[in-house]
Amino acid sequence: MIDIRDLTFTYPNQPASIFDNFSWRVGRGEFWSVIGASGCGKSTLLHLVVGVRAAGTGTITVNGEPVPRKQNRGKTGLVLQDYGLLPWATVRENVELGLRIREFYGQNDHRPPTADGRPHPSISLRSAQDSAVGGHPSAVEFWLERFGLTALAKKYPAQISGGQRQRVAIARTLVLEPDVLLMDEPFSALDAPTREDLEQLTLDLKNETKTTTVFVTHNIEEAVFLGRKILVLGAPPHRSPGRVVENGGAGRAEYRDEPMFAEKARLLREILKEKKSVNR
Amino acid sequence: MRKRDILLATLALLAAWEIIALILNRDILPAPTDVLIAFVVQLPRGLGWHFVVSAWRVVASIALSVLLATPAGLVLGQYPRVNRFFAPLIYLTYPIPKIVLLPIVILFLGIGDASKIAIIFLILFFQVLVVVRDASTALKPELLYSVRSLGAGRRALLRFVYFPATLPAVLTAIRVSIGTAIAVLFFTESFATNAGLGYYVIVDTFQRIAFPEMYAGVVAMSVLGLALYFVVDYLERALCPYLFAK
Repeated sequence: MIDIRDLTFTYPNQPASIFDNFSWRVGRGEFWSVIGASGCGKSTLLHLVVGVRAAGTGTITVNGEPVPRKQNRGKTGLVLQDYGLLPWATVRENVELGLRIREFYGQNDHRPPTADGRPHPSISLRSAQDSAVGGHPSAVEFWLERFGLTALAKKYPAQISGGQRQRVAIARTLVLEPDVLLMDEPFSALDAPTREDLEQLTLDLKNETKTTTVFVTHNIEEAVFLGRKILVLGAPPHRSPGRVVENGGAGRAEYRDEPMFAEKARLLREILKEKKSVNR
Repeated sequence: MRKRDILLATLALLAAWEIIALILNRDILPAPTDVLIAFVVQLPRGLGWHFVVSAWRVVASIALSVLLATPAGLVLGQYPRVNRFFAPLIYLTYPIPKIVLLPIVILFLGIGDASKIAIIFLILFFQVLVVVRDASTALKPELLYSVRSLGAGRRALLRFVYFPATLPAVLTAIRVSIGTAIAVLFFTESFATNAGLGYYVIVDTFQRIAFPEMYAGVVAMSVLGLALYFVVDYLERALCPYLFAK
């Protein structure tokens, strides 16, 4: 699904490269955690996969398409820690944004809803605004309802809590039915109960939509709870092969209470300590 | 600030003026009641026409400056290299009081509307250019990344991010420049023209020693400034409601 081959990337005016002939594959439907110390390049990795930064050398493809994906606008969803919502748009307008961008480029798709009755996210914005069309809820209404945001639809981001803002950010990407979801420390700025609530929501979504997901975090417990595979990044430059920890028990609410969870967390801690002192 | 408070403040000012006029009892300070009568009488007799001419000049200058400075500021904000090229020029020319360029503007554009609009345009252009540029460069990269991930290219970013992001700054720039714009207009209308409130006050009524009418002209100029201020306020509330959401 995500295929990175021999990636080399250096920030302008920086002497050291972040990625040096780095290769990594994420299979369809997989849920990966990416963990590493602050400043190691985790966010940069996501930015490269989305295509908002260009690789120096090497190739990055998502679902076979080179990034940035001009043919499939918005199909690589990106949820950031903060500053992702438009402050001047309401919750509803933020959730609709992807559809409005598609309409702006004349890329509307008027396919009927999917066979299982769920709204087809590619319904045009015009019909999304008229949820009475054909008796089917639009994608926007569906995700607002799913995340409990309907009552907040007319509020602005400054008027809602951090947890609610992140729900809006996730809903906004899901409206476009992405085939890949990239999440860059989305819950780091939130308090523990809200964070755990949203972690569970993320898992529920993964189980419902089967979307390939890459979740970047610096929180060990979060990485272990969510990712069935964990990519551990040490100090840059990152080369192949990357250190991967298999974590098959992840993806269940009760995993946190199991001994394997603590064991994986301990293993991750050791690897991170080891990587801190060695420049791989 | 509530409308009732503004009304009370207005009444208080008028009351103070009335009291001072009564105490001074001189024709160089007519009472507000005399000025109001002169205002109402003169409105259909030329004052209204001069008001419209001045209003047109100011509004045209504002519109022209916003139309040209906003895209220019967006370009400077989005392209660091272009900004680096123009930054020293802006740094040198921004602090110059543009009114000193008036003789040059008149030489090139004559003594009609064009030179008057041009000089106000020059003042407002730099104000709007700088605030739009600064608002663009202040945008968080994370915001741009997340909107780009939704499929936005440069055009969509302009439409959905850059333009709405800089709107409050543009309105603020206009609001803080209104006073200067009106003052400059007043000055430019005091010579080589026979239309506009500056002409009405300084050339016409002042020289005829028609003091109540002169004060009526001053009031009209104040009303023009206030009206523009209120319009910008209204636009800010209508176009940027998120700034006022509790």
